[in-house]
Amino acid sequence: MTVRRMIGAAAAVGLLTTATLIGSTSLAFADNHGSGAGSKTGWVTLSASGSGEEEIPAGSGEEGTKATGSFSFSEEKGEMKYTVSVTGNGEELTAAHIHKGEDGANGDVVIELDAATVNDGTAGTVEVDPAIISRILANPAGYYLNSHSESFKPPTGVARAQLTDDAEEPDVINTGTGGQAASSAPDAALLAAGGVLVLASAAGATMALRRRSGTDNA
Amino acid sequence: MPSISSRPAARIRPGGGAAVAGLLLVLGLSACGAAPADPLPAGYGSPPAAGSPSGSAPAPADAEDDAAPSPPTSVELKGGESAPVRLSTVTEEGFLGVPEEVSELGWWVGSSPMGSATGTTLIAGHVDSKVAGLGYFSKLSETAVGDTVKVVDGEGRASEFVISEKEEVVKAELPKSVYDTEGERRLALVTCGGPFDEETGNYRDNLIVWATPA
Repeated sequence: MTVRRMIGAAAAVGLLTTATLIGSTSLAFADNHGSGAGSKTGWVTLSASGSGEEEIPAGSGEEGTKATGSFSFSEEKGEMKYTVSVTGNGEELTAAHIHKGEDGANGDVVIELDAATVNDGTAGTVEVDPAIISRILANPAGYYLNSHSESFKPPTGVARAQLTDDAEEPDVINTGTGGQAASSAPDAALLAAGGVLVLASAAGATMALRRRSGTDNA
Repeated sequence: MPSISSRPAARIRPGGGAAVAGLLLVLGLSACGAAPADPLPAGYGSPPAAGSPSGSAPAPADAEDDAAPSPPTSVELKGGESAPVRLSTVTEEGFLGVPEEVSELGWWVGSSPMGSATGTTLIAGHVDSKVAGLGYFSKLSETAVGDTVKVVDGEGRASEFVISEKEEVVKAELPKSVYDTEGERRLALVTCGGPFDEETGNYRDNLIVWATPA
């Protein structure tokens, strides 16, 4: 499990308080954080990656769209911070939510996101019932991000993405297809040869100047 | 105007939009709902009630917010302009889906966000592209150990890192540490490097610039 954690002060106190207050579900929260965590400012970050092709019923989403999100939860603060990017959509989004529902199933809205923030792809914060946060952290795969537009209204949407605490790692990072950087990079051997020539020229010029000025004792 | 559920389960606080517009949108969105008497469409459910947005600008970072995670939004290499950072995930082909625009960078959403106490924040970008020429991360080859890197996140916080190491590895041997979320707090700036294969249109290597918090 690759759940990330931010650990502040008073970890043990925070953990005990949280466990006492919210009962058994807090155990999963504590597990997510690993040992010694569950602090007052403990945050857990989840991500989501999906597309229009993942909308239910099949074929009802907007073709060619992608949805990506990063969601950080603090059960203690009752907050979720989020950044969502939806690309390839033909219309402005009118709504975006976190829904309860496993992969392949639609479900009710549990958190409402700000549509303008999602359209802009900027960061937003929403206050969330800690009990809902606890349930999401206990089972991220049981929740999904959905985005809607005028043409892709509920129960379907523009693009959908299941939440996860274990984002897929890339096999390869391919970040160059032009070759310009390779050809424009200075060649070390050429640089060295050039440096020798410059030094030799400078030395010759110095000697000539000295001879002209009569300072050459040789 | 549709009515709103009486239970304030969620309150939206946009990170950067206009509060009034946000409020209006929120109220409009609760039409997610329609009137309580009308059953909601399947898959839409009962949207939680939205309260008043708490501000028009990003909330000022208080002591607790210092630890709040947030995706990086821009990177500035020493002596250069900054480049925007987008969210990146893995494509169906298994590649990291960095932005096609060569002046933009991509943060892998599975890596540590800014504000993290541990792990690697992985940001990748094009060194170049066949159609767009040199990318922002072509400047990575010009960086040196000791140079500073500034990263701004979605909360508006700026963090400074210092380049600690540069390494070039064959792509297939990219170290797992670039995906680490538990270990040393680091920044991994990744692009392509090494010889370019004209036949495949790809570079052989990845250039990794490691940086640690200043």
